[in-house]
Amino acid sequence: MKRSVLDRLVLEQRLNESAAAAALDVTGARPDRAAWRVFLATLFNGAGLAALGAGVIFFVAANWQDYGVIGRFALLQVAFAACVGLALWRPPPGVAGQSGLVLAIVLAGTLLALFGQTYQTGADVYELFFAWAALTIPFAVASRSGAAWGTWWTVLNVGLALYCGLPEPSLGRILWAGSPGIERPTLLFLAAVINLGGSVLFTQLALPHWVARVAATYGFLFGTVACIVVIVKGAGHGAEAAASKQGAIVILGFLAACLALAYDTLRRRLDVFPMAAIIGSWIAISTAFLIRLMTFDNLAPVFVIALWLIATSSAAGFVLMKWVREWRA
Amino acid sequence: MMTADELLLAARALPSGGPERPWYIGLLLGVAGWFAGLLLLVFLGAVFMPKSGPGALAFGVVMVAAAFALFRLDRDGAFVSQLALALSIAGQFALLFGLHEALFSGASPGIASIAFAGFILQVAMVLLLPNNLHRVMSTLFACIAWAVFVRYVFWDKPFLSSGPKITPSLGMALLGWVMAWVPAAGALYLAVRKEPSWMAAGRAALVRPVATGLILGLGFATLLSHPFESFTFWGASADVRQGWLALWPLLSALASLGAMAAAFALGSRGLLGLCALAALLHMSHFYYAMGASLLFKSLLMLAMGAACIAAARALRKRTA
Repeated sequence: MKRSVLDRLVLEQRLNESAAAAALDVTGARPDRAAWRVFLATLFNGAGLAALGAGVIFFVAANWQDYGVIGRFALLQVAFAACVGLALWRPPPGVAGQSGLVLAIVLAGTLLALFGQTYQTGADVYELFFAWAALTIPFAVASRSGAAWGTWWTVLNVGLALYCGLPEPSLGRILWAGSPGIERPTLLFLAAVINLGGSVLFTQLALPHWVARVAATYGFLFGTVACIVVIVKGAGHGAEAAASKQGAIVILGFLAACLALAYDTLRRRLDVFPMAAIIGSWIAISTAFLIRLMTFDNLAPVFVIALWLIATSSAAGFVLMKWVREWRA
Repeated sequence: MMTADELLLAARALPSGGPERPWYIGLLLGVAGWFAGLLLLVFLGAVFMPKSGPGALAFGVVMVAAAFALFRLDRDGAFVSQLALALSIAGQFALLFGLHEALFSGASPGIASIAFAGFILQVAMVLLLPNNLHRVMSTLFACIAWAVFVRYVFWDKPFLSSGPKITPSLGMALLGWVMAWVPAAGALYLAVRKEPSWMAAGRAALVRPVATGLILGLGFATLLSHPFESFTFWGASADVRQGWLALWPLLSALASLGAMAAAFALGSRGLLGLCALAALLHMSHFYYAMGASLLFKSLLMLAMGAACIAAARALRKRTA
């Protein structure tokens, strides 16, 4: 039972301290001894695994200069093989197998970085992350674990962010996005679409709730930045403003993606989070638009923006809480 | 004394007061309210121009009083609480300036004195303003203000100040961290331990958001009590202090684990996840923290990891 209900119960029934304690225990709101033991065992196990993993990484880093090239590769490959071996020995959905695959995803990236550093392949950093994501997708699929998908999705997004941040004359941009003249906001928008699609997919795959939320958060971040870049670039003059022909498509495209996601969320009535992210995104975009429209000759526009933020966030809070109440009923 | 069945029946018979606000809605409202408050401060500050301490105090008091009235009018936080939040943030900046002038006028403005004034102000805001989100934010800011105060009183100088900086010994490093964060941890422990007591006393509306703010403070705000140069990831320079401050991220990771336990005790899964993320952040920071060799850090982590796994196994055996 929720604490807010219990607070009201205790207040309205004028329960004393021991009765309030009994209410917490009877309703299962307060963990008992057995629940504490299970929680602490899980907490210590997780903390212990993380500390051991970090300890090994620190140890390797501390002695890194003393190893030759073969030694460095051997060390990482042994660790990688051990993780994959653990996953084969205790396959997912067992915790050991899932943990092994999460570590294998991380170690694959370390191996790629070592390869790039040792042989100076000349690859861009975003290529490392894309290769990392491509090579480790089997681990994410096999793991059936939210942690592995969350890690993999973050690797993919770092690659996307690095690619979107490339300067326009770079070879990577010319090869992959230069010929059709794709501008940075469009790239950011495409990254947003990938993430929002991923969020829907993760929901369909019945992965833990938070994985879909992580993907949606990345998607809304990319989409919001894309729209704000379009709006800010629109403030420029001459070639810069003329170059932003794809701006309208980006804003309309992101609006369409948000509307589609909103429709899907309102139809399912399961999780209010996507609606909060959509509203938050558009509050940010509309505020950027207001700033772009106004001239700051005096301080009145500052007041208008403050009022806009207050009004939109108040309305957002009201509507979102209404949905929370209705969908949980 | 009610029986268990009577308790459950009474709980079910309560008219629906609505669910708790999810963390992400609180975050959205908090961020928007904070920015709106800063903009209001710029606008109203330019209109009324309170240049002296008493002027700023009066301006701040009016703003916070307006916020208080709006929060009282809108107890459910449905309509005007965002305006109240923005007014309060603007008023708090004015009050901070006014309080600092009143308490430390004549002295050269130091970070420690500003932080102390901020701490007093935030504690007052927690007690005065009847709004959950506001109390969570004020508690978090109070934790930050206290940690910054302790740090600049005892061993640190502003980041850009000239002259040599103090390098604390092991004892000072531990004492500094303990003074900054043990009061918050102790308050949180008491809040968890005494939950039935404050529920029965009708103080849940005050203590529950304070506990949430303390959990967030112990999880994330501990980062702010580290020396700024410990965030320079680009190699050790002569300016980077070598010393036992390197242990601080590890202590902060332990504080995050403690905050996780408190979140579990208070039944908040969202806070549990956030504190797990905080613990990972602190552990990554430990790698970069200057002052101890990687070998020492690695041995410390391995020993701690082994101890944790052994504890987990022992607990599992007892459960089985």
